[in-house]
Amino acid sequence: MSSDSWRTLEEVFERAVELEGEEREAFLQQRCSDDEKLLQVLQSLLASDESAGAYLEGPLAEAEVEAKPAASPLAKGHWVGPFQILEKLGEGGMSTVYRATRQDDTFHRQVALKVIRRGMESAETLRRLRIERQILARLEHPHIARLYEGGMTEEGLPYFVMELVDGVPIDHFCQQHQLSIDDRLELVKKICGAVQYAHQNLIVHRDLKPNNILVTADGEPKLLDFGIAKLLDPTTVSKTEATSAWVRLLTPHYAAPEQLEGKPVSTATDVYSLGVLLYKLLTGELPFLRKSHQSLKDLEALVLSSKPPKPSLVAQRQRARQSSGSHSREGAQETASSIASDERLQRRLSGDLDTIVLKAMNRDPQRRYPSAEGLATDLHQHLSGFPVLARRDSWSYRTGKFLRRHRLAVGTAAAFVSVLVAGGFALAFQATSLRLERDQLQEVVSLVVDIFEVAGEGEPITVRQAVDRSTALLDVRLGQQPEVQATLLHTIGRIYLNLGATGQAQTLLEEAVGLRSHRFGSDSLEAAESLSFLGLALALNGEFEDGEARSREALDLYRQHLGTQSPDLVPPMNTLVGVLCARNGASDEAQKLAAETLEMAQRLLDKQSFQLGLALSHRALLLSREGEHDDAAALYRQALDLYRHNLGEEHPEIAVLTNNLAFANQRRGELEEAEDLFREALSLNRKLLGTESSTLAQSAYNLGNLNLELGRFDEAEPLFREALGIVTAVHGPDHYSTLLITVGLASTHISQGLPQDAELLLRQGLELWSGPLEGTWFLATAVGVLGESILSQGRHEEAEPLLRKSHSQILELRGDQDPKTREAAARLETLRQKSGRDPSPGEVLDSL
Amino acid sequence: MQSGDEKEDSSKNNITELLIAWREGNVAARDELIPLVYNRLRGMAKNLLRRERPDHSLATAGLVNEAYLRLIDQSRVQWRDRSHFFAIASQMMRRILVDHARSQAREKRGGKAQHVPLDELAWVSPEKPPSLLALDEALNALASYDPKAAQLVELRYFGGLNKYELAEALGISTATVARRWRVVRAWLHSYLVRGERHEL
Repeated sequence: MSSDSWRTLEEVFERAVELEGEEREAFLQQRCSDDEKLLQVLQSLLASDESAGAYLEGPLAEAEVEAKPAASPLAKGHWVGPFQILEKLGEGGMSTVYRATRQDDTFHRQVALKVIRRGMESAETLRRLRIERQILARLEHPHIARLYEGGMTEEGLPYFVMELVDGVPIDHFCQQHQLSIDDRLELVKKICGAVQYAHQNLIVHRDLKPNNILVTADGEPKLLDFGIAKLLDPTTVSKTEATSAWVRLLTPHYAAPEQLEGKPVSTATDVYSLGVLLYKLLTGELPFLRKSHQSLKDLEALVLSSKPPKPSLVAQRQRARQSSGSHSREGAQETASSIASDERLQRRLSGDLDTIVLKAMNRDPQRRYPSAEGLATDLHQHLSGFPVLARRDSWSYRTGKFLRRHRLAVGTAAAFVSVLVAGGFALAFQATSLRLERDQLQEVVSLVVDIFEVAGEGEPITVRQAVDRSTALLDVRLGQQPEVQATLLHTIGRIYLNLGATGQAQTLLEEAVGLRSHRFGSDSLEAAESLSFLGLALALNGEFEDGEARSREALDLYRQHLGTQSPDLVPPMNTLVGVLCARNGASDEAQKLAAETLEMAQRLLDKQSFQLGLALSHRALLLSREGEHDDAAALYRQALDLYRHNLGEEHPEIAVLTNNLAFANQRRGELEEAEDLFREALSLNRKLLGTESSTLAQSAYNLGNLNLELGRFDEAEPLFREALGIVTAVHGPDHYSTLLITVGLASTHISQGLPQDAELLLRQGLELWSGPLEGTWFLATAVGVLGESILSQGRHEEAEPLLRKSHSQILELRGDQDPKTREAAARLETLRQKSGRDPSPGEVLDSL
Repeated sequence: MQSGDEKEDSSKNNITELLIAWREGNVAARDELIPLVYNRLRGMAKNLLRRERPDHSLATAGLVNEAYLRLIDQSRVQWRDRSHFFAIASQMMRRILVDHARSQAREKRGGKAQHVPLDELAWVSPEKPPSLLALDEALNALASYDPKAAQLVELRYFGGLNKYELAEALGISTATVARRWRVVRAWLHSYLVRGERHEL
């Protein structure tokens, strides 16, 4: 071959790879009609191109990596511990699975035995492996294959003994049985339930994919290998192996972006993989198709940088391809059109299902479903024909739920709005500065009602759309009135603020400020009113400085208009105090302003006014933060009376206030009263918020802590468990509130005489927390309680460094007067007492 | 420390001068340059190869870039000098690594542990990556048809150049880099994996 013929080869090859099937063949025949050799070479190269996969795409030296010898496969009859091998069932990237049996009196059944094909080096690794195994063995769920036990083969390879599942991978199952879309969704729903259960036990699967989800003959899914991936992840087991090598072992199509990037894994990682699974089951295709010449790196880059096409689009493309007669390269693959053979499929997928799948697969873990349960709920909603709340990002899931609950709970539309609007910081329609006629105001009220009624019931829409639609309606009813539109934006912004949807609140309030500044001037009271709340929204979104500046600017404007002694100054002052409270702690400035606001409210406002209640509760909160619990409790009581007067007996804000009052009482040592109040808050929250609000979790946690303090451990335990269940579902297991509740539960276990349970729980948790919560006193506390649990088991030397580290960190973070520091010091003191050779009572007894 | 820095600086100046002189047509400068760069590169590579960590060689591809940063005063050279440097350094790197692989192969025949490829990488591609010695042989064969094609592989593998650097070094667009790479890769695959020996 000469240099010339290479160039010819190159040129023909480059054009041929762009063609497929018969077209390519025809092109080759035409170009090589007189050159049989060239044709042969080209055909060989094209064949290589198709089968090369990622050949030579990695860095050079992969070729030279030395590996440990792969374990020889186990033959039939071979024994692994007490199990005898019957046959090989399959082989994966890093493990081999056998059917095995154990025959003795206690245990007579067949199991799946999975041998990992690489050694685990250190004693530390082995110890951790044992702990993990114990945790995994606790997972008991109808859709999760049980892990019975595990151990180490004679060659030093870890093995796991699991429930033997007689089933086929879910994608094959769906294809074999030609399941309908609904049936596929039902299957995924069940899987979500199992994943949720594991997440509540702080276990993330990390490698969800069809091969790990088998479906039995009676149609029940079973998840395999829960948590096994973690045991093999070198970044959690030992630091000696490169992460990139680990990522290579994952199935890249189902791996979440954060896994590909080597970032921390969370429950959201599993939600992503569930999204990909759904995608595959609905369209028959993977979201990111890897062409044969693409390398793994290219695929990763694709996952990290682009959005997958909507499932409905895939269905459309497949239909187009079919009608044009050409075939996809993977001819044997199931296609969306073969799942549901009519054209309606595309319409079926577009809308809800597109949105559900893509939300689960959002690149940003924060923007996926907060939990597997959230995904299941939307699938359920879709299946039962209700609007799906994930439909638009801007419609937060929580908001929708809240609205639906209250639509049911509250009779009339007007009352509905007052419930929504009254809570939190002020009554939206009490603002004095509105230059709207009474009937215009009525119009706005009824429109707001309409908007939320529509959103709660009918076709889901974005707030933006709702506002636009209502503005159009308003134009018809009232003519062009930017002030009305601005009021609408302002009001809905306020409602969002009260609902905790602070992101949306910020957007709407920004617009309201803009419109009102334009209409009335940027120094108008109207603009100031919106600006004041915009500051609060910013502060609640974590932008404290910006928020404070806006709310201050607003208050200054109010003062310019109204002087310094107007009762109408109280709302913006309350809002500014709210801004200052949003930042944890109680600065002198916040204390001073809160006291001033309260004084003004008491002097200038009606004795029954809601704003007075708000000022009281702010002042109480800040006093409580300063440790002045007596004064705080008295003010909370007054505030509660005013809240009840204005909001009725049953309102989420009342539960919050009752909870705060209970906390103050606990700190005062009024434990019985505290307990009654916590119970009141808990039952109110259960009634108002259903089973999945973090406020409910907070009440349960507080009551649990109180019971712990009172020494009623068996009452504390279920409360902590309830709280933990809610919080892991709502915030995920790596949230600080999950940490706090877990610490409470672990402390209970220590007191119950179950320090081993406490140790397991904390070790499991610390892995998730140590990244995101590094440098917080919560984390240091968890480390301290872990030390305590180890100390209780008599392992003094192991406990000591943990207790010391915890104490010094908390001391540094909180100062020596803080109760948390004193608790840590007390734990350290226990160590001293136990280590100083004062014999324990047990030892005294033993020596007798 | 100070004297070491000075030594480093003067050799940096020297190598940079030679590189510039070569671009300006001084062939003697090139001949003087090559052993200097070779020795430095070999020192750096040996340092890496000596460490007994299994992933050591993953880093060798970065060496050419590292050498460039360490040996050349970038404020004084043009992009063309950089390409020249990459071209000769990649070629040297190939020689260094192939020599190393040969000596290792000799040691192994002397009774050391068997070389076993990582089967865990299997899912990436059904074929194991080629051994360095086989790749070297294939590149020699390829160079006899088209030296530019072989150089592409050399720069990419042994020089660790990314597609932009490849485009710059070869004076072609990145799209052309990608197209040529695809042919070359298919050829190597057919040669190394399917064992075909084409002749035209």
